[in-house]
Amino acid sequence: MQIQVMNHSSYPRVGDPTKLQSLRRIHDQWEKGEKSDEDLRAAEDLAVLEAILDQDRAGVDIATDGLVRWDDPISHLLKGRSGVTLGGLVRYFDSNFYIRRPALGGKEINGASRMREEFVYASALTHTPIKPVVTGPLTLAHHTTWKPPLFETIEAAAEALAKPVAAEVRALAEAGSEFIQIDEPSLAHVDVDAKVYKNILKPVVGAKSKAKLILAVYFGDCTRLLGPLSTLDIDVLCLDFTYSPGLTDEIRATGLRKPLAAGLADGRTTKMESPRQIAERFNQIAGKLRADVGYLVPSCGLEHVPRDAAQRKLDLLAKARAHLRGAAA
Amino acid sequence: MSREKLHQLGIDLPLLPTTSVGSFPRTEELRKAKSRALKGEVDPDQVREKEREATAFWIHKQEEIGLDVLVDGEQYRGDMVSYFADSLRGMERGGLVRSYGNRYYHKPVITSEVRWESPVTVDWWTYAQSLTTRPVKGMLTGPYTMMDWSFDEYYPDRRTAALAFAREIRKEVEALVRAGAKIIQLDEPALSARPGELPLAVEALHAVTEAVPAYFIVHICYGAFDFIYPGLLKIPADNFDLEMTNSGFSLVRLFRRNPFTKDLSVGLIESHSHVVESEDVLLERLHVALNSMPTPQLWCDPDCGLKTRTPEEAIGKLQALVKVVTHARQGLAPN
Repeated sequence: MQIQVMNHSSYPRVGDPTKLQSLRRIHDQWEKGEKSDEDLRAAEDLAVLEAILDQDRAGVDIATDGLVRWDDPISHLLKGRSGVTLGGLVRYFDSNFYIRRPALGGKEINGASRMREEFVYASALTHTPIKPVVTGPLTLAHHTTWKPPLFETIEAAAEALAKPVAAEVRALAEAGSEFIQIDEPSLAHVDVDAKVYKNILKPVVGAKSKAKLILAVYFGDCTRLLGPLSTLDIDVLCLDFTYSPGLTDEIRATGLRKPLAAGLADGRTTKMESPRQIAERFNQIAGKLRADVGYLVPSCGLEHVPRDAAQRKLDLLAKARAHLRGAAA
Repeated sequence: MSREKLHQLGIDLPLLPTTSVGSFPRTEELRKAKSRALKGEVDPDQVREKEREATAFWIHKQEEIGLDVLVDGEQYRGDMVSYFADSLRGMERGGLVRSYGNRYYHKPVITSEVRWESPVTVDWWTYAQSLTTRPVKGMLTGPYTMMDWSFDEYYPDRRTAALAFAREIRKEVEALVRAGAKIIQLDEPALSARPGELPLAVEALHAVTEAVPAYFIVHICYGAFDFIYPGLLKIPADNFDLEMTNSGFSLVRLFRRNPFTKDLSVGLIESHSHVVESEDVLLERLHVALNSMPTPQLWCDPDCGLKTRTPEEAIGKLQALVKVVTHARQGLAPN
């Protein structure tokens, strides 16, 4: 099996050295009206470049733009779309990161793609494939508000929100994206029937064209979801092992027919796993993965740790890959 | 019930006591001094003097506005977790981590046994209280939030870490009480993050407050209250200071099913908006609160600290709050 290292999604936008804080400073000045939109955009561009350089230095096989332009995973996709009003702050799962919770005012949630341009910019900076990330419809619905009878259930809201998600996926696929990740941490927190979710995801799957669709579930136990997730029309499953103590045993018991991105390095802590430990944990399940390729990823986006820790997490995944490749040779 | 406790502690407050959650924006003079200190142009003693001046400014400003229970304004703090982490043995200053939008904080790292060695906030509380005859709250970050908002590279599990913080924070609480503090606020914004850990938070806060002669306020904000209510009421607090405006007063419907049995400092002001609320808007919010629980249990304040606002916005918001509450009191009689 070929082993690749993939960044999960976000990467710290700033670091502790002053030179890595220009985005923070300019964003602050922009909020006060002292900098223009163009100034902010230039600072974001630079931060994207720095994030990609860090990933290239670590030797990742599939990178992201670090999601450095995102205020948060919910508002980035929904902000500025018709029928959407941004509301108050609310905690994002059990992290100490907060999002602005949007309110939906209509069933049609339209607006132009903003991720296509972000993907095109990032891709031009590196030869490493850039994986764009789009927050999934269930997670969007889980973190928005609406008043019935607009939607009577979260599934109905997710179905409506799948349309802008699909539009982004279509735009990204048309722009040449090889991989597109759909982030669905809410799958580990909201009970939704697998068949219903498959239906919700249908327009998203239909929009992917030749791109490989990665479904990422994190911030919750994925063990019980393994079977249902395997039935979805997606190409790669990206699962958080740090919240899922039974997941290794479950995969060993049932096997997995889809390629796996194994979130074995904890993206929420500065504690560093040893590369050998990661390699050994991957090897425990490798024989049960019926795929030509397997991915090592952090368990979630890396913006929950400081930048130096994020770098070290990627470094250790690259070393774990070397262990696995050495063992296979 | 808690009003009686306050009376026993020698504090008599009017109906609908007004207060603030904790932080105020830095004054311009302090901001400049801090900026110059970073360039090495000003020494730490000069910065500290500016912090004292800024503290005095906010104490006098709160008196002038007419707030009943004051805060020191936290002019000397960076953020609520790293400020305490910097003073505890066993913790190191961590790197920057984003909390929302363009806001970051230094998330500390637990590297060995956490130890309180000397008072952290007592000098500031004593100084602030010396400037006014109105009660000033002692302000601490609670054990659950200290644990949850730190990287733990030492303790085997979250419970051991939270209880270690509880043991050490109690020492700061006792030091504040010895200095004369009668109202102590424990900030626990992380408390609603993991509903399954509510019993741990309850246990940790018991360890902090048990048999301590003070009126305890626990401040919680920006969380999923639906999942921790009414279990929340098991926390040994006399008063819960809850963000209500940001969450659209959704808590009120929970009170209908399970009455709120403690005092409640109801957040009537949005802390993360530049807009100074109109009196009509505040009156409407206050009426929602008044209709949801008995008046003697209610306090009024902003949703959260106001440090992200400009001084003018913070002052404008508090002035509007006091004006509306003062007007409302005239139509109310104690139950």
